[in-house]
Amino acid sequence: MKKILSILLVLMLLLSITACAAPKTEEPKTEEPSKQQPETKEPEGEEEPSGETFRISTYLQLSGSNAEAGNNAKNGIDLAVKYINENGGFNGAQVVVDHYDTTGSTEEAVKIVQKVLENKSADAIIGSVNSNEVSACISYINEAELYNFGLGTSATWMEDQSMIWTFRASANNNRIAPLDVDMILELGYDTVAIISGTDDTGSSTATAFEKACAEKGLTVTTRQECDTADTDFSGQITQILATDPDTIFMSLIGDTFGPFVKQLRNMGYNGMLACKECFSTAYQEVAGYENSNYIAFVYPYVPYNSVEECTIPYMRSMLEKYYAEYGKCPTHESAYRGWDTMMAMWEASKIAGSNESDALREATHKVKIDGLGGTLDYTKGDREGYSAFNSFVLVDGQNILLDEWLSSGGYEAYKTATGRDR
Amino acid sequence: MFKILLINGLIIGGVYGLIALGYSLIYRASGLMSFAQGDMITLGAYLGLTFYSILRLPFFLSFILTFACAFIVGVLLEKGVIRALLNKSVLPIYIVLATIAISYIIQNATQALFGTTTLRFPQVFSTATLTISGITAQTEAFACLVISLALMFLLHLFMTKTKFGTAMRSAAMDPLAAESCGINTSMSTGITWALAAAIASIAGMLLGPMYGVYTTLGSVVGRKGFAGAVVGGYGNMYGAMVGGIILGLVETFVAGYWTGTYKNLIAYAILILFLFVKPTGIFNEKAIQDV
Repeated sequence: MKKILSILLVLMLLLSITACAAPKTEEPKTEEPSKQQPETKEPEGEEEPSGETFRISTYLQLSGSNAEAGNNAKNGIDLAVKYINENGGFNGAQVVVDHYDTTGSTEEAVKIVQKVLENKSADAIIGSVNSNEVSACISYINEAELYNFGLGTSATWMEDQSMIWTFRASANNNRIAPLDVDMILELGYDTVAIISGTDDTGSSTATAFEKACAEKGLTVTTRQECDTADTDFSGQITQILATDPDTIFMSLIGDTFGPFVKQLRNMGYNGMLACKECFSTAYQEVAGYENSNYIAFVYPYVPYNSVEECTIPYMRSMLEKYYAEYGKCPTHESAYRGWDTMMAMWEASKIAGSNESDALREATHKVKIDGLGGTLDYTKGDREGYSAFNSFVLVDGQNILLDEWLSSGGYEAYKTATGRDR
Repeated sequence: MFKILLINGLIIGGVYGLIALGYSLIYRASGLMSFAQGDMITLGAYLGLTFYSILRLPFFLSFILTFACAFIVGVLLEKGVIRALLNKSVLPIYIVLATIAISYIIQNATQALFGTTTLRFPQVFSTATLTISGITAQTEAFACLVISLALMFLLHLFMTKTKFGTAMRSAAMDPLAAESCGINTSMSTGITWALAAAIASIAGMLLGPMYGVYTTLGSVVGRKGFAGAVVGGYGNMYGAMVGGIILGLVETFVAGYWTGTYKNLIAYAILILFLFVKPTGIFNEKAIQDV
């Protein structure tokens, strides 16, 4: 009797958690030709890639602290796959995607990739938006000579020139860092403080930025670091504010952006911020829209609050599809990374006329297509798609081209609104 | 700079202290250790978000409802899991393991129900920030410190000056003897776990507007709260608060005067140091003898 009572009470405990739930957001649907794959299933079976389907395995962080980016990337990939399948697939083969959740653990990512490789269950692999995970996995994938793309933006995992099977259709932060410095100089600033995460992307981007500052004559007043799971930044912010920088460069990751900006603004800094990437809608939501004003960044693309807001035809067309599928615009730009990656792979399959890894790899070096953030050009031989970027500034929830903002008197309005002289 | 760090250290220390109070209360009143306390914060934050932001109830009503729901969850947790295990006369380590399992259940359940996105908890007070002697911080952060201190006094009074508090302590010290004196030990531990969950839910409702609400919100600060409870003297209400504040101050001063990279290292090194040098904590709570 007591056992039954205990079980009932545990069930009540779980139900009480369930009862207070918010109306659940509709899960993105992947309308693939084959059965839906569970997001967190273990790679299993000895299913050989068939000629009728082109099977892609992804390892993405779909839960945990940076899941926003992972889930948006997943949506972008699924959306592109749907479009590709409706338009002939990879040389007639329908594309099927198996998504695996790394939970933000590098160890889990490696286990997933090793199992996928061991089971030979994929024709290609797309890697995580977390560069730590990509860095840990690509050597295994390259050893297996399997065609793959990484979604992270850190420079580190693309530096090894022997990783010839790995490509990228997202930004390389080390290429952006010098442009970040140019942007800050263009705003007329002489000094900058840096806050960086201790993760691969945050740390390597901050280092590249610091180096570019030294080369271009921008003084770094201090560089502070924080852990990816940190929630309190008061010590770092106090140190930063004590150096009285003209602006602050943020090289953080995922969930730290929102709380950092919120705390920084609450501690009295209302000046211009520079960011290593676009300040996604999800970050603005946590930081508060009133705190997310005046964040400048260099990036290939920006998030949009609505489809109508976008005036770039190709981007708008993608956003329309995205909205039709998921009922909202992407909340993180990694959705664009996912889309671009699939489009680059698709183009490679067309050029190759084959879906074999070797042929796809060779063909990717000939890919030059319109990406969501400009031209994706792999003909340079460095396995990187993007090399041209734009400067933006986030004001009142709108990402405005920096030049346009400056020429329309935005900077003067900023000084009036903030009471700052710089 | 010292003054800014001091105020911010006190504020974050107040947060840790509030969490540490829950750990200490459970230990003080039931002699048990819970590692689900951090996740109760998460649960409290989601409950608060549901009532305040999604159902758009007034904050005070949301606060009461969250407190009540967390209280009920605490009772169910104790009756459904902890009491069931205690009735089997298992070793205390099994209780600890059970709370770790509950911790993951809460994390995964909230993830399944609310998704992986960090949700915005609207600010509770009409004034976003408060400035005290030239130092500006979020109003909820100041509230956290004030509520922590108030709860510390209230809990101490409850545990030492009320009949029920005394009964709870005797139930923790010797359940058999307590029962022979007519104390309902089952109810007493049930109320203890419920109170601890309710305190955590208050922390969750105050942390939500500061950090956003996500599934692992409580796990990181929960660990810090645990460390604070040990430093102060595990099981002592004043110790919990003082330990939490010390930890907050150390962390903030390390990050402010040295580096943010090693602030967690230093914070947990202090925990280890106390475990070796003074395991009874600052308030000399002899927790270690009871385990």
